[in-house]
Amino acid sequence: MLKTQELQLNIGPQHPSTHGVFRLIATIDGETVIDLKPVFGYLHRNHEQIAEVSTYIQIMPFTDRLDYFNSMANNFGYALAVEKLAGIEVPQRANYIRVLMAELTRILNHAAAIGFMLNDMGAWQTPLAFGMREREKILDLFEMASGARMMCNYFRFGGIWRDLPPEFLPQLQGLMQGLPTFFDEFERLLKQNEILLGRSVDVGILPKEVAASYSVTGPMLRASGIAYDLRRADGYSVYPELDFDIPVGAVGDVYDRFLVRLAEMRESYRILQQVIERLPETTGGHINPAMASMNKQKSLRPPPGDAYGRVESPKGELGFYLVSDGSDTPYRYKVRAPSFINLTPLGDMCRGHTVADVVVILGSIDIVMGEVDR
Amino acid sequence: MTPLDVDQLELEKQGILLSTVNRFYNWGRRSSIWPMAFGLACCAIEMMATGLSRYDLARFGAEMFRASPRQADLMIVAGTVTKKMAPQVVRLYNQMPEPRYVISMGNCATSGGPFRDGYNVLRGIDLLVPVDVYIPGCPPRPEALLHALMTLQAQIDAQKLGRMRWYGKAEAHDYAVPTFGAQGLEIDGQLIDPVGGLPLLSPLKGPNQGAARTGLIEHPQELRRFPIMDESVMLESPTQAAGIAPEIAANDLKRRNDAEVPRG
Amino acid sequence: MSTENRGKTYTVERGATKLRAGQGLGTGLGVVIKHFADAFTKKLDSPEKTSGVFTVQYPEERLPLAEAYRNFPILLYDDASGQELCTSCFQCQRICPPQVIHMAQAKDPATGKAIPAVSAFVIEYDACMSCGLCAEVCPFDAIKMDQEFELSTDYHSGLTVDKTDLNRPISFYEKLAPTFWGEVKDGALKKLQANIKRRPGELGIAPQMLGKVPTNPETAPLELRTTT
Repeated sequence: MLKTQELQLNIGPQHPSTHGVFRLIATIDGETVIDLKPVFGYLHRNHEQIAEVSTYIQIMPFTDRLDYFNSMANNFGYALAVEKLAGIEVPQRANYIRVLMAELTRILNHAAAIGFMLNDMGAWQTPLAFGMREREKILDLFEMASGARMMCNYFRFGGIWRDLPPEFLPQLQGLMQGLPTFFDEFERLLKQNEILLGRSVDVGILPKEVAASYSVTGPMLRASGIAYDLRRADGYSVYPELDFDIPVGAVGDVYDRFLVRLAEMRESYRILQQVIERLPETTGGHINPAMASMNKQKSLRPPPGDAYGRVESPKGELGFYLVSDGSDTPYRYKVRAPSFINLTPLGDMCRGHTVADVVVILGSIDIVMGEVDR
Repeated sequence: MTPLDVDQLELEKQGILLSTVNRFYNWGRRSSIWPMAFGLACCAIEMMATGLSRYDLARFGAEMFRASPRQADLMIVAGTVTKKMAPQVVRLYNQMPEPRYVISMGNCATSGGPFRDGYNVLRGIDLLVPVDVYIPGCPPRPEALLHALMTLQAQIDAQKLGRMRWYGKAEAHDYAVPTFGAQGLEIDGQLIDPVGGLPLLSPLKGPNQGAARTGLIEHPQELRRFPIMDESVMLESPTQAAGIAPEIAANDLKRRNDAEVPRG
Repeated sequence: MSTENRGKTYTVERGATKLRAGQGLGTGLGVVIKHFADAFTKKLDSPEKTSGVFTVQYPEERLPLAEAYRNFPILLYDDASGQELCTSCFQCQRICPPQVIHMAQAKDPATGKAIPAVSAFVIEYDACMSCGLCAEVCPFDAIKMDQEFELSTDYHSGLTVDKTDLNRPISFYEKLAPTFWGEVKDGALKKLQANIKRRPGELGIAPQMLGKVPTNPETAPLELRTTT
C-alpha cells in the first residue's frame, strides 16, 4: 500500500464554476473528496439590515436583487408576506398575472440552471446558449410589462404595478408556440448524451431522508423523491384552480435533478396555457382599489404582529418573515432563502466523489449567491 | 486626457512610420480584449447574456472569457464588491499582466449602488484599483456593456505606443491589497471606506489617463462631491448621520465644510 | 399535503442510462448542426421561432425598447413656458430606496418663504437602482424614467447629475412613452399652471430655457405667498 496524505484544496471565491463568489475548502485524498467546508459571505450585502430601516414598499426593489435570476418570484413572496401582515386582498386578475409571471420565471430559471450545470460539466456555453436564448425572449416580455429586464419591481401590495400592455399577450402567444420545440430540442440535445450520463448518473445522491432532514426544498427535494411543492401544499394565489403535475425523481442524483427541471418546465408551460386561456375572463383590476395609489403603498403601516409569506420559487421555498411593530418599517425582516438551505447538504453529497464531481453537484443545486449571502 | 507628450509629438512629426504602427498595433489590441470570467453578483448574469448569442460579444473580439487572470486583459467588475471580497479583487487585478483595463459594470461596483449604506459593501471599486470605464445602471443592459466596451476601445485607440508605461523601464507595481481592520478595510492602518462616513473619491486614474499618479496607491484623501444642499434636507434624509459614530459625523461635517471639489 | 385533486405526482422517466457509445452524442450533435445550418438561412426575429440568427448587431441595429422600459430618472419642464414641473415636495427623495435623490426648495427672495419650485436637484446616477418608485410617487409627474442607457464614461463624478443635465422637455418624454404621458397629461399641466402663478422671477424655469422664455414678475401676488 502506498502511504497517502490528505490535502486541503481551496476552490474559489473566484472560480468559474462556483456560481458567483463562493469558496469551498475541500479535504482530498488523491482525487477523492473526504470533507468539504463551504465558506460564504462574499456577497453579504446587508439586505435584511437595509430592509429594517426601509419602508415596506422600499424593500420591494431590494428583493429583486436577492435571487437575481427570478426577481418576479422574489417580489411574489414578499408581496404575499406583506399582504398577509396587513390583510390586503388581491383581485383575481392580479393573481393570474402574478402566476403568469412566476411561471415564466420558472421556465427562465430552469433553462438557465441546466445550462449552467452543463457548463460545469464542460459543455462550455453550448447548452447555456440554448437556455439563455429562451431567457432573452422571456426577458423581453418582462421588460414590456414591468419596465426592466432583470430587476422588475413589478409587484405591489394588493396587486401589480400596471396591467399588461396590449402587445404583451400576442408576444406571449408567440413564445408559447416556440416553447415546446425548445423543450424537445433541449431534451434531444442533452437527455441521452453519454457525457452527461457519465457525469451525472449516481453522482451526488441525496437520499429522501437526508433531504428532508436538511429541509431541502424545490427541485432538489423533488428529485430525491418527495413530492412537496408549495404550489400544491400551500395552495397560495390561484394555484388551487390550476392543473399541473409534480414530477419527482427516483434516485436523487444529479441526473434526476436535471430531469425534474426539464419536466417542471413542461408543467409550467401547462400552467401558462391555462392562465392565458382564463386571463380575459378574470375579474377585478390589476390592483386592489384600496391600495391603487402609490401614497397608500408607501404609507402602509401594518398592525403589530408577524407574518410568514412563502412561495415556491424556482429554487425552492422562498419565505419572508416579517415582524411589524405598527410603524412604517418592519421591526424584523428575515428571508428564508432556498439556495442557502439547499446548499447545506453539499458536503454530504460530495463525500466520496472526485473533485470534478464537486462542481457538477454544486451546479445541480442551482444556487445564486445573492440569495445565499443576502 | 493625458497632457501632450512633447517627445512623442516630435517623433510623429519626424515620420509617419510610428503613428502607422501605432494605429495598427492599437487596432490589434482593441480587437482582442480578453475579459476575465469574473462575476460577482447580478450584473454577472447580464455580462453572460452579453457573451451569448443575442448580443454576441465575439463581434468585438472579446468573447474569450478567461478563467485565469494571467491570461486576461480586462476585468469586468460585475456586481457588488463586499469588504470580504475586496482583497481578492485587488489580488486578481495584481495578477493580470499589463496592459490591463477595468470596467466597473453597474452601480454596485461603481459606488456600492443601492447597498452602499451596508456595513459590508465597498463603496466603489475605484477606491482600490484604477477604473477605465464606468457603466451606470442596475443592472446595465447588455447593450450598455457593449457600449462600454466600445468606449474602452476608443480609449485604447488613443494610446500611444511610445508612451505606455508597460513598455518602458518602469517596473509594474502591485496595488495595495487591503487588510481587515477593526472598523473595516484598511491600507497601512488607515480606513479606506469608513462605515457611516461620506463616500470617498478615488485617487486613481485609469491607465488611459496616464499611470496612477504615484507609484503606489494613495490613501483616498480626495473627497467625492456629495450633494448636500440644505441643512434641513440633510437632517431629514435617512442616509445621513443617524446612528453613526459622533467622530465620523463630525468628520463628515468638517469635510463638507472645507471640501470644494469642482463640479463635473 | 393538500387533498386538492388537480394534478398527480409522477416519477420522471430516466430512460436508458447505459447507451451505445456515440448514440446520444450523435443525436445532440444533430440538434447543434441543424442550428448551425439554420444560422445561414433564417433569422430569429419573432418569439415563436427557435432557430436562426438571434444576434442583434448592436451599434447599427437596436432592439426596440418597450414603452415601460426605465433606466434613470429625469425631470420634465414645459416646452412652451420653460417652467419645471417639479415643486420640491420631497416625495421622491423620501421614497427613493437607496436615497440618491437630493433637492433643495426654492425660496422667495423677497419674503424668504418657500415657493413651489426647486432650486437644486441632484441625482446620483452611480447609485440609482432604476426601480421607478420616484416616478410613480411624484404627485406632479415631474420626475419620469428615461430610456437612455449608453452612459458609459471614464469620469466617475460625472455620474452625479444635477438639474441642468436632468431636465428634458415634456415633448421628449411624450415621444418615449405616449401612453404613460397621455394618462397623466391633463392633471400634470393643470397643476403646473397653478404652481407657475406662485413662482416669482426666474425661479422654476429650466436653466436651459432661461432667456428664451418670459419670466414671471419679480414678486408674486401677495395672496399667493404661502408655504407649500
